[in-house]
Amino acid sequence: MKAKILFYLTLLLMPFATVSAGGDLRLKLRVDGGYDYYIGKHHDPDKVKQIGSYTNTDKETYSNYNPIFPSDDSEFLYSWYVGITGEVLFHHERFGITTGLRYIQYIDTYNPAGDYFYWNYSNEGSANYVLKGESILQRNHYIGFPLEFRYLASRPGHFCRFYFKLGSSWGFLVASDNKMNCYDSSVNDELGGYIDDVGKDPDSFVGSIYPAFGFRLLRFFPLVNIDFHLPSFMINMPASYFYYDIGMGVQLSIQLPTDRDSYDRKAPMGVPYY
Amino acid sequence: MKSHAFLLTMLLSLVSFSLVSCMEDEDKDKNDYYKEDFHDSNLPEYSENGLNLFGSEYKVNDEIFYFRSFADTAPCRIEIADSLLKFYMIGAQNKDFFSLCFEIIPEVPVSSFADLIKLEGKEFDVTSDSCKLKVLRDDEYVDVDSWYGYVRFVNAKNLYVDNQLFGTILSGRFGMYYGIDDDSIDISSGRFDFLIDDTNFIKKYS
Repeated sequence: MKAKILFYLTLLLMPFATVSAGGDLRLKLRVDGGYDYYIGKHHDPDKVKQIGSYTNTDKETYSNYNPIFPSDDSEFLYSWYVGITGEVLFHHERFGITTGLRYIQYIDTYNPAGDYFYWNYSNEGSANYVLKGESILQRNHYIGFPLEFRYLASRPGHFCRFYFKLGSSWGFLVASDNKMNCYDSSVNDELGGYIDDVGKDPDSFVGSIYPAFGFRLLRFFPLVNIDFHLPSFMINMPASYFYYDIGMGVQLSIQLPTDRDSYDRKAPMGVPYY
Repeated sequence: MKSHAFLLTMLLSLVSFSLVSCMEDEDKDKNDYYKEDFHDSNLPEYSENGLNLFGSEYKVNDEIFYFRSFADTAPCRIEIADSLLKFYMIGAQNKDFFSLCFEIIPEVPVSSFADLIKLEGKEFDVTSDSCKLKVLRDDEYVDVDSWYGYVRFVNAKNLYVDNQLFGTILSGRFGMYYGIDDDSIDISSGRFDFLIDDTNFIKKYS
């Protein structure tokens, strides 16, 4: 565990170490936001209850014990994020390292096929209370940081610069909420929608790694970046019952260069841009 | 040059992380309703969820078969007549249709399936006056010579769905040893998990 923390810390501090080393460096502040989509499946939540039932109510010939069997009908999880980051560019602005602060929200919907599923709501003495649910929406909120390495394939000054990137995003769980949509709307009103316990918490620390390619648009100030993450991999799981196969995503960011050259080029007559 | 090497190292680290995360086998799409017993895969795991199943070993002169519930047949029926409670288990042994019935004097009033929770924790000995064992033979439930036997209602709870009473979950264990014709039958490791509702709770008026 210590080795892991040390590794992450090293990754986080690397850009600052690079800055302090001096040399051919450019710092660009950035506001970024993105969307990732993961394809996968759901485990049956622990609280989904299988109940035996009879399909034929004729008491003499009743037949077939028939558990309500939810099957997965929403085989995806998605996330969106926003953040403020800084990118240090070096070696003639061909290489860049980015880190900063990022808020990530992972959204998972358990929405099995069929009209409803049984949700084990509570046990009180000799009574077991079950709800008929249609879907459960889980939102998990993480605060963390990205760490991205970028190689820009073309030289600075071009209107459009193609680049490759290996990015990662690390987050710590700060909050989680679960909303159940009940089959019976009157029960929905009574419940208020939110349920405290879904039987299992999402992982408190998650990471995603995404090889990406993209384009940096505009020349000096500001700069606009569009990345495409394909594929995107996940470490740990930011949802209680989802497990993924593969992910993909897109990221949009606006960069504000803080180096003097960029302002000078933007305003060649010496008029300050800001 | 140094910066190139350094960046390459960092890229490789992250790529290795990616590969490790890909290698994790998360294919655990368990959707099992029938869970096998850890010790004997021919039997269902003991449960208290109202899954409507049961199972036990069924030895005929020391030859082992299994007596189990099966699909397309309701595995349990409870009939109430006066103070007598008839608890039927309906299934198959060695692919033949088979059923047994415990005729119980419950000593607590049972007038609806919701009253079955009063049975929780109670055990009935088939060799006692309060319980009698019958088995299905030629479409008829007949008395047998029980040398040993019990049915134990380990757990009973009422099931409410959307705050409406839906049924009663009755779970427990059973076993017996009896003789019929020239055979000795040993039923052991029995476990049941039933949901009793209006469809399989029958009240008979005398």
